[in-house]
Formats: sequence, structure tokens, C-alpha cells
Amino acid sequence: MALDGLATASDEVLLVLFANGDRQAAHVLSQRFVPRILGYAARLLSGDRAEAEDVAQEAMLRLWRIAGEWRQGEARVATWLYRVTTNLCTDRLRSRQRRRISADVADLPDLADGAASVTAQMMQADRMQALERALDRLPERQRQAVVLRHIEGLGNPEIAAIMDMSVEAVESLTARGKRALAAALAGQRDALGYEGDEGDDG
Amino acid sequence: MRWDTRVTKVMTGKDTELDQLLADLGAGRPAVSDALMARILADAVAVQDGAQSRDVPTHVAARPQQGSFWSRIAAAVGGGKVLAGLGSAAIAGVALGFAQPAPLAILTSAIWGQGLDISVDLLPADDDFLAEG
Repeated sequence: MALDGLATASDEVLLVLFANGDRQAAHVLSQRFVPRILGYAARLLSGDRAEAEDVAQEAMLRLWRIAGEWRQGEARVATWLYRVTTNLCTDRLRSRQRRRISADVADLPDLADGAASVTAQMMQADRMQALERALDRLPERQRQAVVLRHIEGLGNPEIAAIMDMSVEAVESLTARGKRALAAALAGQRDALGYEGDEGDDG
Repeated sequence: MRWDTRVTKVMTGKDTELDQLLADLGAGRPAVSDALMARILADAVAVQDGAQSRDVPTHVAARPQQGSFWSRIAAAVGGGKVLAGLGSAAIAGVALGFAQPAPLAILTSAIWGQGLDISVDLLPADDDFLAEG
């Protein structure tokens, strides 16, 4: 089938076409999902690009392998992929923790590093990094819930399916994650150079 | 509203601003490198080719097991047509044994004549070979 025609096909239809040997279906599915799961994996793996690429490749490989047995209507392809990606990242994070069991949290780079930049652009980059680092320091499940909800833009029912928990549990995790984020950022106010901004707000 | 102003609002506890900041963070998704896409598509082709190559031996191996008793007998004697021929010959033999066809009776009459009585003495009374002593 022509690439243009496939671009509007549903994920499930593309998966059936792939299972029937359609090469173009693999292209469209990859273009549709790889950027999303790569970004999600990178976020969960604290920005480790190489490891995130490995996870994205492995998740897509699992999708290719299951295509022939995909049961229509049981799960959305996106939900299934996010779930596989979450599990792969969790495995890698636990493996990391085992390797670095003696690492001291105090050895992590300080949030204030580079915050004394003089240009506004550098300051903004520092602040974004501060947000990312605060996100990285959230407990694993809180980080997954916050990223899926507020960065990937998924709904709570879909996140519940991905994380295999109730919608209420997702709401609770997200709320706790956001409170922790706000607290972490508030703790860096001075270091990030917000002394003069308070007046702008009010 | 300036980015740093929104951060200030987050830090003063306004969650909607934190939502926006997180959304901004997500807007900068990493670009997918050509190398990664090539690896992923190579996997896809390998899985598709592997699925197709697995199909052939599966079907070939499955066929003999799916045949019935008669199809396996037919295969053993050289095929269904041969078995049908053998069956037809057997039925014809049995039918000839029960009912002599009329054309055959005419033929035997012409050769041997009417009222031909043929007898074979299988155990003649004067058979010397059967006498003991």
C-alpha cells in the first residue's frame, strides 16, 4: 500500500498490514511511535540517550514480534508500547541501582551548577535543567506517572493501564509527584536566581 | 508570561503553572537519529522475513499428520487413483464369482457344446501312491 494511504490508517490496521508483510506499515508505525517512546524512555532514564535508544529499539522489536498475534480491540498500540517501555526502563533502572548500590546521593551534580550564568538564555536553560533534575529525583513510580500525565499528555485511565494500577492510584501518585517537584524547585529559588522575579508576579 | 515568572508561580504553589512547565519540557522531544530508525526498520524486516520463512516448513511438516487413514493407505500403494483401480478390480472379481455374465455363458457353450459334463477325479480309488505298504 502507498505510504500516503497508510499515513491515515489506524495503529491496529497498520499492525495487521505489518503482520501480512507490508514493509511500509513498519515505516509509518515507527515514525508514529519511536519519537514518543524514545522521549519517554530518555525522561525515565534521566537523559541517557544511548540507553533510551536501546529501550526504544527493544520496545519496537517486541511490537513487531507480537503483531501477528495482536488481538484487535483489547489494547491500544500506544498504551501497549508505553507499558513495555516503562517495564524496560524499570528493569534498567534497577540494574543501575544494583551496580551503584554504594553511590552517595550527595555525589550527584548540584542543582545550582551553572546557575550563575549571565545571559537570560543560559539562565532559562539552567532552570529547565533544574526542573529535569527535580523530575529525575522523584521516586520511580511518581516520575512515571508525572511524565505520562504531564509530559506525554496521556489520560489517567490510559496511565492506569500502562502502570497496571487503579485510576485513583494514578491520581494520587501524580499529585504527590507534583508536590515533590514544586518543593524541589522552591528549594532552589535562590540558587536559580529568582531573587528579583518575585516582584514581577505581584 | 515569562518562563521565569511561571516558575516563580510554581514555587508559590500554583499547580496549573507547573503543568504548563512540564508540558514545555515535553515539547522538546529528542530527534530520532537515522541510525536508530535504520536499526528499528531492520528489525522489522527481519521479523517479517522470519515469519514468512517459518511458515513454509510448518505447512510442509503438518500435511502428513493431517491425512486420514485412507489417504495414508492410498499414499502407501502409489496414490488415490491406484487404490481406486485396485478396489474396482476386487469388486469386479467378486461380482463375476456370484453371477456369470450372459456373454460368457454363450462363449462357453460355443466351445464346449451343450450339456458338457466335466468331472475331475481328485482321489482315484486305484491310486497306487496312496496305498501304503
